Order: sequence, then C-alpha cells, then structure tokens
Amino acid sequence: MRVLLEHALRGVVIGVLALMLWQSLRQETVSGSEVVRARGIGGELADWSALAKPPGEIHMQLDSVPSPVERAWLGALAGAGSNVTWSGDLPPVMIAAQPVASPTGGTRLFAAAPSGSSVVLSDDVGAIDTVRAQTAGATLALASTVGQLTARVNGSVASAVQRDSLSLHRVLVIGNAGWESKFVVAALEEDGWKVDAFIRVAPGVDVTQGSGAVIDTSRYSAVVALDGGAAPYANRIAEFARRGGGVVLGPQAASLDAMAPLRAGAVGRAASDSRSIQASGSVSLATLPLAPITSLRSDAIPLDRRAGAVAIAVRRIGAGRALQLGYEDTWRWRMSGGDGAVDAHRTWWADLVTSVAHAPRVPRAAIAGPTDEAPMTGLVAAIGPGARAGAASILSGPSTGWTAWLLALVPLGLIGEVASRRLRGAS
Amino acid sequence: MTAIGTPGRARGVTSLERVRRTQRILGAAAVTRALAWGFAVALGILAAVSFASLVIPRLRSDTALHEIFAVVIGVAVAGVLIWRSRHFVSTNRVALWIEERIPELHYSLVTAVEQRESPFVEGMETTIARQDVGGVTFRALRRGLVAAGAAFVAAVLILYVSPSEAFGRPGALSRLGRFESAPSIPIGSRLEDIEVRVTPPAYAGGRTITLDDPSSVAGLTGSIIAIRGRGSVAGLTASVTGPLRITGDDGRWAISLVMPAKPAALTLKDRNYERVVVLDPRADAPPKVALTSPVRDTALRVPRLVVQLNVTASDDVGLVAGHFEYLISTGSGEIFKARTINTPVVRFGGSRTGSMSATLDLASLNLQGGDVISMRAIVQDGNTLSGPGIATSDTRTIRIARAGEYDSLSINAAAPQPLDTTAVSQRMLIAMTEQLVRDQPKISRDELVKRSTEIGDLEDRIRIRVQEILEGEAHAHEEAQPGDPPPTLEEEEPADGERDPQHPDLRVAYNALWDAVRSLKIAEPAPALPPMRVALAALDRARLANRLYLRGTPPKIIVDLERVRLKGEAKGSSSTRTPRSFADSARVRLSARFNAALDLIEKQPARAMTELALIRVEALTLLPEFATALGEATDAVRAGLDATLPLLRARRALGGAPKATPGLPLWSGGGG
Amino acid sequence: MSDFVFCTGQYDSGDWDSAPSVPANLIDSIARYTSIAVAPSGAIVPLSSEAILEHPLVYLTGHLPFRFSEAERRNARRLVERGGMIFIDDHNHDVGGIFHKTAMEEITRTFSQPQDLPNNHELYRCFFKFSDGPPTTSHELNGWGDNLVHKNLQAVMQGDRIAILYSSKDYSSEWNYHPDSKRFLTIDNTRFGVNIIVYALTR
Repeated sequence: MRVLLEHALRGVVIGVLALMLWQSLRQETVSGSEVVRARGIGGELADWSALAKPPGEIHMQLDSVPSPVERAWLGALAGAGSNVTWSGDLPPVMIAAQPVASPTGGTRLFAAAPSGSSVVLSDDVGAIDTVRAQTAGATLALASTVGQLTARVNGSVASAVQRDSLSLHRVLVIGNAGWESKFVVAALEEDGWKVDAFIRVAPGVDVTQGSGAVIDTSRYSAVVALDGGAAPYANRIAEFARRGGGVVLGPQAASLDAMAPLRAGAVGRAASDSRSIQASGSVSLATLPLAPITSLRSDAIPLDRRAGAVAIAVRRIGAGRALQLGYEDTWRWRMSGGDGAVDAHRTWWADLVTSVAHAPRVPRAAIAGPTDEAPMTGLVAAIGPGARAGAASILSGPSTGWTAWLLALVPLGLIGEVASRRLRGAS
Repeated sequence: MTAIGTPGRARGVTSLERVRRTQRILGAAAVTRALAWGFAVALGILAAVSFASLVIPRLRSDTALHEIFAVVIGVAVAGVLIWRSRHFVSTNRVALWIEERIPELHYSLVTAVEQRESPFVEGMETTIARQDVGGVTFRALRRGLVAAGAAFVAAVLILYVSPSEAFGRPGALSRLGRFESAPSIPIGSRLEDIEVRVTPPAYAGGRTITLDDPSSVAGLTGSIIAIRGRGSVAGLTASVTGPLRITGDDGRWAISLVMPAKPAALTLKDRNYERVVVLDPRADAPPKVALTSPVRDTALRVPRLVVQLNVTASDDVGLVAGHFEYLISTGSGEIFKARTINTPVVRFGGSRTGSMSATLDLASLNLQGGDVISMRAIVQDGNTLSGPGIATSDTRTIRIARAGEYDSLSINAAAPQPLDTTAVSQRMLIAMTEQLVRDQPKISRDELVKRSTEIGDLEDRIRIRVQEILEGEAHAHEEAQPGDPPPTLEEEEPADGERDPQHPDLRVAYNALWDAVRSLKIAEPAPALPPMRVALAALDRARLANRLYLRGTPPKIIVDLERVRLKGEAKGSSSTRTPRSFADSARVRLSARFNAALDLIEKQPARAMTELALIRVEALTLLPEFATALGEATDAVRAGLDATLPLLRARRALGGAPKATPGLPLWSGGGG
Repeated sequence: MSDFVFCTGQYDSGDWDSAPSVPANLIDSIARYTSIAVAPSGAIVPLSSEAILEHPLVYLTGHLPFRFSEAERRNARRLVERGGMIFIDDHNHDVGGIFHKTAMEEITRTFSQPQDLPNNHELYRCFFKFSDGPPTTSHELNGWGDNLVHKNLQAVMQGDRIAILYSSKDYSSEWNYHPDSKRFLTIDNTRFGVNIIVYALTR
C-alpha cells in the first residue's frame, strides 16, 4: 500500500512538471490569440509583461483610473501588439492650480468634474473642502496649500502642484482727492499691494506717492483710474494695457473720451444718487450707486451683474486686460457697511486688481513628486476611449495563482515519497 | 590573617578555630561575590534596556517595570550564588575545602577537627600550624571576587553612559541610593513630564491649579507659575524675555515666574533638547458699570429737581469701591468754570456684582441758568498689580435753561422724573377724544362743544410747544384762530431755504396738530382723531430720534462754490504721501511660518513643535481662534494623537474658509 | 462720485454747536484753494448715529464737558478703525478747562493717550506749508484761556496716520466767522483747516 502511495506521489510530481511544461509551450505557441481579462490591473501587468509574447487582447473593467505608470505600461503593451481595451463607469476629473496675482499669495484651484458630482479637494495636510461641481467644475480660492493638491471624484483622483509663482509689481492709483481715492489706495495697501498714487488736489497740486515713473509693465502690474483725475494720463494708460498691463476703470474714468479704447462698454446713468443712501450699517455692494455698463463690446466678459445690469466687465486689450467698474462711491461700503465691511471692501478691490494684474510667472524651485492633472485624459491617450461594458469577448486563462499551487506540489510530493521510503527502511 | 601560618604565633590557636575563621572569610566572600554579581546583572539589564530604547522608544515609557525586572533577576543571581555556597555553613566542609587546597595536611585538619579528643591531636595541630591556611584561602577567593567586582564596575559604567534618561543616574541609580550626592548630567531630556502650578494673584483669591505636562499655561496676569521637572539643574536654561533662575533639590529642577501681561514663550533648554511652553495671560478686565437712572439727559427751566441715581456694576474678579461724580459747569461766552463733587465711596467688598445709588437735590447746588450738571458713576476693581481697573458710566447731563432762553429745550423729559405735571400727553388726549366720540350720541350739544373745546385747547398747547421748539418762542405767541387756515410750516418756509430741515417729524406733528385743533374747536371730535394719531406717531418718532438739542441750532450757511472756486490768492503745493502699512501682514507672516512648520512636522518634529508653539504665542493676541486650534494641534502631537483635524482647523482659522465658486470661470484672472 | 461734506459731530454731553460758522468757512476755503468737489453746506450728524460713518472726517468742539455715551464711543471707534479721522478742538483754549480735561480723559479711554504731533508732520505740509507747526491763533496771543501758546497739536495715531487730531489752540474761535468776512483778512487764517481736510482726504 505504502509503495503504491509512493508511486502515486512520484507520478503526481511528474504529472505536474509535465503540465507546467505543456502550459509553457502552449502559451508560447498560442499567445497571439489569448484573451486576458482583468478587473483592475493590480499585478497583472507584470505577469503579462513576463510572457514571451504579450496577450493578444486585454480588456479591463476598471473601477478606478490606473496610475500614470500603469497607463504607460498599458500603452507599452498596446504598442507591443496587444489590443488593449477598457470599460468602466469612471468619472472624468481634472485639476489645475495657479498662483493668484496678489501680494498675499494664494492658489486658485480649478477642478473639472461632471456636473452634480462631489469633488473632494485635499492637500498634503488633509482635506480642504468638498464642493459640488456645477457646469462642469468648481473653482476654489485658497489662502495657502501644502504639497500636492488632489481632486477626488469616486474612483478618479487627479493631482497637481502649483508649479509657478508670480512676479508682482506696483499698482498705480490715479484720481482726484476724495474719499474714493483715499479708501481705494488704503484698501490696496492694506491688502499688501505696493501702491503709487497721483491724487489731484488742485490744478498743478498733487499728492503723490512713489516715484512717478513711466507707466509701464516693468514697474506696474496694474493702474487704477478712478475719475477725471486720470484724464491727463489716459493715453499712457491705454498703451500700458496694450503692452500687457492691467487697468481698472472707475465709472467716471471710463466715461472719459480718452479712455474709449479701454472701455468694455458705455457708461450708463447712475442708478441711484449716492447722497440718498441712508447710512444704517447696511450699506453694501448691492446698495451702492451703480452706473451700469451698457452696449457691452463683443469681446467683453461681464463679471458681475446687478438687477440685470452689468456692474463689472472685463476684456483683453492687446497683451493686457482692462476692467470697467460700474459701482460708485465704494468707500461708503467700507465706512457704513456692517461688521467686516472694511475687510470686504479691501478684498473686493484687491480682487479687482488681481483679476487684471500683469504678473509674469516664475517657476518654483522645488516641486513635490509626480502629478496626474488629468488621469482620464491620460488613460484615453494611452489606450484609447473606453468600450461599453461587455463589448469585449471574455475568456479565462490559467492564472498565476494556480501555477504557484502546482509548483508547490512538486517538492511536497517528493518530500512525501522520500519520507515514506525512509520510514519503512528502504534506501 | 597572616598569623595563621606562623607556628610560633599560632600557638594556642586550635584547628577548629582556624577552620571557623576560614569559614567566616568564605561566607563573607560568597555573600560579597553574590551581591556583586547580582548588582552587576541588574544594572547590566537596565543598561541593555536603555540602549535598546534607542531603537524601541516604547521602552522609555514603562521604566518601573524594567527596573523591577532587573532587580528580580539580580536578586535571583545573587540568591543562586549564595545557594551554591551553602556548604560553607559546615565546619567539616570548610576543613575539607582547606584540605583540598593544601594536600600536605594529609587530612590532619579534618581529623583534628573531628577527633578533638584524639592523643594525636597535638601532632596534627603542629602539622597544621606549619601551613599558611589564610594565604591559601585568600588566593583561592581572589579570582572570584575580582571577577565579581569587575562585573559590577563594568555594569555601572555601562549604565552610566547609557542614553536614556529613564535609566541614567537620576533615574535608577539615585533610587538605589548610590551616587546620590554626585552631580552629573543625564543623557536624556529633562524637559518631559513637567508639572506646572499656577497660583492666581492674591487679590483675585483663586485656587492654585496644577497642570500635568502642559504645552501652554493660561492664567491671570500676575499669577505665580511654578514649574518642576525631573533631573538635576546642571546644564538647564530657561528664558522668557530674559533668562530665568532655575533651582534644584531632591533630584528635581524648578522654575518660578510671574505670568506676563502679554503672551510669551517660556523656552526651556537642556543641551540639544528644547521645549517651549506658551504663557497665555488672561487680563483682568476693568469693571462694567451702567447708570440705570436717570435714563436720559434733560433740560430744566428751573433748578428744582431731586434726581435719583442708580448704578449696577460688575467685574470679572471683584469690585472694590465706587462713587458718583457731579461735574457742574458754569459760564458763557469765553469764560467757563467747573466744580466737581464726589459722593462718599461705596465699598463692594470684592463681590463680582454690585449696585449703588444716590440722591441729588439740584436745589442744594445753587445752580444758575446756563449751568450744566454732568453726572456719572465711577467704580474700581481690586487689581493691585496692573490696576486698579476703573470704569465710568455714561454721563447724564441736566441743563438749566437761561432766563428768557427757550432754545435749549429737549422734548425728552427725563423719563422717571415728573417734570411737568400739568402737561397732558398726546396719547391721553387721543384717549379723551375717543371717549368723547363714544359719548357723543348720549350727551347734549353744549356738553359736546365744551368737552371738545377743552381737548382742543390742550391739543393747541402741544402745538404751541412744538412750534416753540421748531421756530422759537416768538412764533408761539402769535395768536392763531381755529377758523383761520393753518399757517403750515411749509407755507412759512423761507425762500432762502435756510430753515432747518432736520425735524420733518416735528413738522408733520405740527401740521397734524393744527388739523386736530381745528376739528376739536368746532366740536367735531371724530374727524380730529386721525390727525391726532398722525401727530402722536410723528412725536413718537421725534422722541425716539436723537435728542433734539436745539440750543443754537447753527444757521445753515450755503457757500457759493462757483463764486469762490479757486479764487484764493494763496497757492498750495504738492506733497508726498506715506504708504499705509499692510493690514494683514501679521496673518500672512503667520501663515508663511505655519506652512513652513507643517513642512517640518515629518522631517523634524521637535523643531516643528517649537515653531508651532512660538507661532501660537504671537497668534494669541492677533488671531485667538487660530491660536486655540493650534493649541489643540500641539497638544495632540504631544500626546501622540492624530493632529490632522486640529491642524486643518488651525489652517482654516488662519487663512479663512476656501472661497468656492460654482463652475469654471470665463475669466481666470491676472497673471503672466 | 459724491462731494466731500464737512461734518460737525453732535455729541450729547456738551455744546457741540459752539462754533457754527466754522464749517461754512472751511468749505469756502476748500473751494477757494482746491479743486476738491465739496458740498456747499456742512452736515450736522449725531455721533451716536450710524450716519456719522458716512463722514470720514468729523469736527468736534465745545466748551463744556466732553463725554461720549456708549453709542457715541462705539461709533467713534468704528469711524477711526475704518479709516476716518476726528478733529477735536478745545473751544476754551484752556488746558485747565473742563473741555480739555474731560476730552483728554475720554480720548484716552476710547482710543489711547494723545501724544504731541511733531511739527514737521506731513499735516503741516500736505497743502500749505506751516514750517513752525500749527499756526497760532489770536485767542492764544490775546491771553484768553490758559494764556499759553501751544507748540504742538496732539494726536492719536492709527498705524502711521492721524486718527484723532486734538487742538488746544481754539481754531473754533479763530475760524468762527462768516466766510464773506475773509475779504477783510490780509492772510486767510483758515488755510490750516484746508490742510486738515486735505490730509484727511488723501492719507
């Protein structure tokens, strides 16, 4: 009986070896027509690549977008002759981070995702916020970030880092002496901008700040022209914009004929007389007098509307940008607004300047790790668009797991046979 | 000892005595060797664990267990060695031990000890006396004792240079009673596991609070902070704004300091180790005091009034005293004088809330027309360190009108005072008129006319009062007949537009009063009611508006700007402006430091903790919410917990919530 | 854009209206020397009213005790914190007088202790040049009040700008005349008032 068992064990070992030899030979001969299926790719890529000839057809059912390395690997397999296809309900997601043209820095994060989806944004510290994508995405302004930024929608994860910083110059404010010019300059300075100013007090008498240098992009990131006090500088301001500078025009400045090339539209009549505003702590942007921007130019983009009227519009002028403002007497908001009005007024003016400021990009020295800004795009670029689920034919081949078990049988069988013989005293 | 081997001197020393002496020596040596090996093993174990703690930091946490383990093993080793020497309790075994080492005795020693009555004893004694038993014994024991001593010394040395404070000199050895007085510096940090006791200033009367290993200490400014830690003083430094004195006793160091007025960082240094403890002072707020009576200012025609003053006060620590102050201003034109009267001091006895009251009889002040009495309450707390904190209430003024001067009337009488008992309020007149309307069907025509005319007269007095306020007394004395068309203020408005436009409510009231008076005086009370109500509402609005302070309402001069524009002969000159400072510079600076500290957390956690503590010191005043979140984060890190959430909260408190905008913008903003 | 409106602050404790012609006189001067758009008449606004915040420059004067109510104190603080400026002039021109004592106490309580403003401050050169600091008033020279010629104005600074400007020089008396009377003056004594307004509007 024991002898019989020993023969059987020996036979198993020989059989397993024969089977493995046969498998090896068969894969070499029929790999051109092998179809391999994988749900997720995990370690499969290594196995496929270890084959003498890659599988003829690879179809993956994905529940997450493969990493850049995996995508490159799949691309290589496709290049080596495999017909690589995929299917799966993967939400496309994309992320981009750009520096904000502001002295306080910050990052503006653009996340593209299917409308209605929840996008989880995080950085190396942890979660930043969860936003619901509308009209194909969401935008986030962040005061600071650490390391890599990621946007996660279901199984798709996109990552980015802010690769550039900006080189900011000064802001020039031009206007007549009055509360508006005073508080615009104050707001920008309090936000960290270095401000030069030409404030007209009387004919030939100005209050100035800064060197009064030539208005060009080597010195100024933006010019804020508030009112008729900017008239003598109108041509220089227009040239500054054409060469890449940013210009913010107040309603009175925009109505100057010399500013016509910069206007986003005509200056309408002020909707309310500022003197009629009742100061009750409720003055806000919504209650300020508004000279609406009418007859908007075709290349102008309205940024803010109030009751259907365009309140802020912006357009490109040559290499630069010009923003036209409809709000008057914004200082009243700062002085007579509710709690936080000073901050709100400051931030609002800083944002206006930021939205047009000329700020050349400077690459940052140290950038953390590899990023994957648009994983779905990368997947499609590597192996093409996804197929509908079930469209690919499916066959099952032996998996590497079985091979390992078969391989384990060989020594076990041999040990068993030898042990049996020794125990019964045979040599 | 050497006398054993000298025959002449050995006379009289029996074999048994020799054996017993050797037995004592062997016993002492065995015990000494066992103890030495026991200590050596125990200390060796401690040293081994100490070195292992470099690789396994967890080993530092439970030092008592390791010490017990070492002691048990050491005792076991000593016990085994002593057990192995147990045969030395028998003199025969000792004698054999000696025979074994001195074969020349030929068992004469054993025989002499066992056969003490034998006739051959003397011969044997002689033989034995010729041998150097003591020297042999010493030589036999020397190697074992030297080895045990060497092992003990080696273990002590190894433990001495071991890296962990837990098993260094102040730890295990000092507890074992050795080297107690020998000062030396431990290898590990002595800045962990500190104990902080905060004693509030004496005037506050609070209890001492003990904090266990805190990262920050909060307390009233002026509190005494006592910090104690383990280890010697040598090499330790501490500083806040300047170096602090560190004392030490009983193997512990101690620092005592006073809570400063502003947040500060207490920096403790032990060679390369550093720890920052945030000092978070709570200022003793000044008291709060509210004058509840009289509730408003008033003007009097005659200085006859008894004013009741009532005050409530509170303080976060304790009130001490308070009084009322009356400031009487007299004068006109360019000459004004003032005198101050203080009421007796009221003691609050350190309670947190209190009240006081006083009665002021204006008649006693000998006031004249034009005088102004300003009344207020002053209270103080018990702050003897940075105070006392003094608070003053709102000031109430009573003005005495000058004779013939009626341009300083306030239509707001001081509410609690029965200033004018003859005045009938508009509200009461409306009630009377409504009653008359209800009674009208039941009463005669004459009765109706009489009652309606009476109400009309009273209403007319109010109208004249309003007119006085609006225009001055001259107009008020003009006779107006009910039948005449009312001279409304709009009609009286001068063409030059210089009339005060600031009292529209009073003008509305005036015109409505005219309508009401006219209806009442022709005995038509029902049509009088609507304008009476309009008048009441307008008077209420005027009453609720800011106090009408009509004395000398300035004439409105309208400048003809076109006429004078740039007609000045003097010319101004241009000037330069100094830039304003960056409002949020502190926030931006803290943000940059915070981000840098976050970057350090994984690479240099100790450095990051120090930096976060220093950031928190600055933030305590500037950004308290951020400071709180940062405190939670540092506490979490110190406790070995996950600090992600508090760090995220801190970041949000510092940078604000992210501003999310739905969709992707058409305009991405400025840039290159 | 709205015009600059000169605002006289009305406070409860004293005679805030003791210099009624000062606003018109300064408005006249602003029009006379500058191109600043200015309203032809001033405004009188209670300091306890939120409407005071519509006027970033507020003029306060008087002879009598100067004490803020809680509402006045709150609004004064808000006005200054938001970038406004308050000009307070002692109509008594007497540092021993009740206005000065109470005003100093109130300013210290509400803001901080006023400090001497250096006479080379930009206030003295932002439009007209006053190389010796604040111009002397006839009331100082005539020996009224404390019989002193005050060398400096005092100020509470907010950052590096003037938030509270305090004068013991009695400009309220000096400027308290109808602007038409300026034609009788050889030198317009309200020129320093122009500097105060230009400073407030541009700093």
